[in-house]
Amino acid sequence: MMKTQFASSFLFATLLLFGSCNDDPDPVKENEEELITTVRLTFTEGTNSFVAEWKDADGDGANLPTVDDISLEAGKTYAVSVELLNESTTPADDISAEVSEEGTEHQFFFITGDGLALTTTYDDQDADGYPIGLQNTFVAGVAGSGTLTVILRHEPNKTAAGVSDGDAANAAGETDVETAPPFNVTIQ
Amino acid sequence: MAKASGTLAQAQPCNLTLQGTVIDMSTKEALPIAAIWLVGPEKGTTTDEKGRFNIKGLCAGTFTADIHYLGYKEKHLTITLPLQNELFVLMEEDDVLIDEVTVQGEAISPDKTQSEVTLSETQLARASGKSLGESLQELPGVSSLKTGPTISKPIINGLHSNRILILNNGLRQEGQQWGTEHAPEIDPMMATQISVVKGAAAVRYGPEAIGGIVVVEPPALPYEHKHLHGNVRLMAADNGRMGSASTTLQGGLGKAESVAWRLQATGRRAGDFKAPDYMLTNTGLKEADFSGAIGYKKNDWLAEAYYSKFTTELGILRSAHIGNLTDLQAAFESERPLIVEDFSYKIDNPRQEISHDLAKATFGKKGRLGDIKLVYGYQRNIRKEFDIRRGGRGETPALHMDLLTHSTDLIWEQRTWQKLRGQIGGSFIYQENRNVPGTGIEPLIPNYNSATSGVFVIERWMEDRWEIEAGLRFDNRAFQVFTFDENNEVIRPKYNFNNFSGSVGLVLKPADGWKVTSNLGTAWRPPNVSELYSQGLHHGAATIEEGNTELDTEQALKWINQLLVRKGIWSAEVSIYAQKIDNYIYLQPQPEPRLTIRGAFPVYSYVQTDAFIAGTDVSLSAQLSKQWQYSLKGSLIRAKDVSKDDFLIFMPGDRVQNSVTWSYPFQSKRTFFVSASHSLVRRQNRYPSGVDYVDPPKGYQLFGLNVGYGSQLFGNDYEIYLEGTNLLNTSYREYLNRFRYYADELGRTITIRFNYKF
Repeated sequence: MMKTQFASSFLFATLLLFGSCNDDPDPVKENEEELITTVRLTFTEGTNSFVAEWKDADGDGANLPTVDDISLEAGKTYAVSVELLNESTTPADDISAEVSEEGTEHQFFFITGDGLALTTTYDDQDADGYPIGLQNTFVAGVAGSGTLTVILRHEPNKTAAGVSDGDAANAAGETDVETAPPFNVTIQ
Repeated sequence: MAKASGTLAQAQPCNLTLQGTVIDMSTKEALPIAAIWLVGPEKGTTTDEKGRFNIKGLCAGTFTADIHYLGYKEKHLTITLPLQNELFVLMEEDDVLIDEVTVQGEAISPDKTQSEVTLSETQLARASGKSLGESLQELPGVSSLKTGPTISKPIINGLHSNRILILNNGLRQEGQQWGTEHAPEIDPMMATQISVVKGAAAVRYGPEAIGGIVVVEPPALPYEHKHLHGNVRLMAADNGRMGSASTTLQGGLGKAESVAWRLQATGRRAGDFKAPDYMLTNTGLKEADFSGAIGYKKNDWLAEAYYSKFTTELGILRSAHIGNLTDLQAAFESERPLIVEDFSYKIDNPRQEISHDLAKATFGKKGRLGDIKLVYGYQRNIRKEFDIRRGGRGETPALHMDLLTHSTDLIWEQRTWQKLRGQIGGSFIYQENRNVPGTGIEPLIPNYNSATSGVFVIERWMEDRWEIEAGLRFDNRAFQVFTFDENNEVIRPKYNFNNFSGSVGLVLKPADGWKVTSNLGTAWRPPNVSELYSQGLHHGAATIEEGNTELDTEQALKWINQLLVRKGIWSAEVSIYAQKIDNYIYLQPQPEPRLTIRGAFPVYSYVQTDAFIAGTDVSLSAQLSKQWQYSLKGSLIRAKDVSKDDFLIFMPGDRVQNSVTWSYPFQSKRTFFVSASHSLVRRQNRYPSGVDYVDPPKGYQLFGLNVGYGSQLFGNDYEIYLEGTNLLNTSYREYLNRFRYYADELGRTITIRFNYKF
């Protein structure tokens, strides 16, 4: 019967096409180069220096981040450098190098909370003369405690009012880093 | 057949002409290639594309004209020549199964016991340059789920994405339709008409047809036409400085049994669109589509091949790309989008690049027992999404998916036996989804292989004033997912779903001009891989979406009734429906936000509930005089989460549109009209509180004007339209636009269109 002829040639054509399918459906693990797991602040005062880290090893996963407490001395001035790391790979990737290379597209903001007496000023500049925030000076004021949130914005508007003074309100752009929960800071 | 009547005036010279137009009685659409035969003079012709005919060299006298048109009741008119005016022949649609009128080789039309609305060729021509989703918004009961000005998905009676089906030239369109920002990859310009069936149509089309189906159908190949025919459609709009051009060329060997072909292409280009107060930066688009078809018909045999390619590049509103919840909050609080730049045609990241290939082969055979049709379909959908990324990775797609689909359908359309006729058929679909490695980001949905098979039977009993139809279907869907578990080990879980669907429908014609249809149907949908395995951050919504591997099948029951009345100057269509969906899958916010290095994000998980949706769609028109026409369209929908006794989220607000059209009554082939419209959309007050970040926006009203002129050029018809939308340049936001958080809808837009048909 013509019908069966039709059907069989048709099935044959289908099989030919099926044969050309991708044979290995198993997924390939992606190398998530952009992942940031760690914000590392290095405080240097004279010859003393210490490190405080905010770490979330599983990226967007459900595990909670771990946050170091920061202890400063009242009236002292600290040189603070910021490093961003991807510690999900070995050796760890230094993401701050990318931030530095694309300095004009990035800026850090240091937001204090709960009345913490901490003054932050930028010590570095991008190619256009605007701050990046990888190198900074922190001045600890009167004794007390509060919080410190580190924010990294991608493609912020660096010329907007207050932005180069460290005010994030008009910066827009996307947030690449926001340390929530914040660092707990004690000034003694 | 009526006999020839007298030929009284033998003395007069036989140089009279009979001319006229054949139109559909209810839609007033011209009917091309209708056959006219004059009994007596024994002369005949067929109508042209405009439904017009012209028979010369007739003698004075009285005789009978027989008019035939496939799918319409035959008409016999008594005519006395010379005639003062042109003849207008109104043809009434023959209400037997629509399949009786489908030419073999065309896609099978959906059931007629279901409520159906259609965009005609004229309406499509007047909407040239629009996407499929935007064009369909014209229809009562159909709205649009948008993501910015260029991404638009149809919503039928409140349901969209995986709950509706789009038939692209008879094949189920297989793209990544689960995504709310993934628009259908179809060029509406390839179709002569687009219909929306609003019932649960699972029996004929298988899983997913819960809310309804959109049928995008190219015309039948022109086997009867000897000459080259086609059209050109040009469009330009000020907003977005948009331009679009589309053309169709087709021809045949001019014999009923022969070869016919068609070529069609469309190009669209736009830059940044504009809201009343600011530019919508990075909302441009680039689209190029092509399709070709060839067919061969001999005796009872038919073979047709079709291929289409759709490619598009879409810019995503720059301000809608945000890092975390703080950024989202800043976006809400800002009156204007945070990034507004000067107009540009440049499409930057974030953007989408999509290509969709579709190939189809159809074989048909007419026989004593009915018609057999075998259809093979191949579809390949490649979707790349580019994000704003660090370290020069902007040119690497953040999402890169390759979806391959093979489908086969075998259908036997029975020849009518007594008053019974029907269809029996089966279908098989095989699908492979692959994430193309190298994105540097874990994929949103995993790789999978899926096989869906189904068999169905639909039978219909037809009496003069009523028809009854019943259908039954069995489906199986089996799929295997390939992904990683928490320990980064590959896992390959398998899923298997079986389901019976059924439907009963009734058509009643109590009196001339009245028709009532009622359909009760079940439909189902196994959970989609995205609902089972989604994992990750949704940019633009600042949410983390989590799949749920425990989800069960969605089960729906929809009852839809439609009343059609054509009485005197009035014409009305009212549909009323109620739908129950058990195991309705939706995203539920979780109490604890997720803490990540980018800040805190709310987490949404897929869960199931029981839903109930009811509503009505109304369309009404009145031919007030020869010049004036009034029409009204409206729809109302109420949707509840029955388990939680709460509202369902993202349901269209109540809307109504009034329009008045004035046409100049030309005696010649020219046409001119002015049409003014007013649409009103009420605020959606029925929404679950505390789920969305921002409450639904205010209601709004818009005014529009369309002016059209048609005439002839080189003996062929052309039309020019000048259309203005949002004439008062009103700033407003629409609840069903996912970018309502960030920006207003489009401001005033002036569009000019030119259509030429030859």
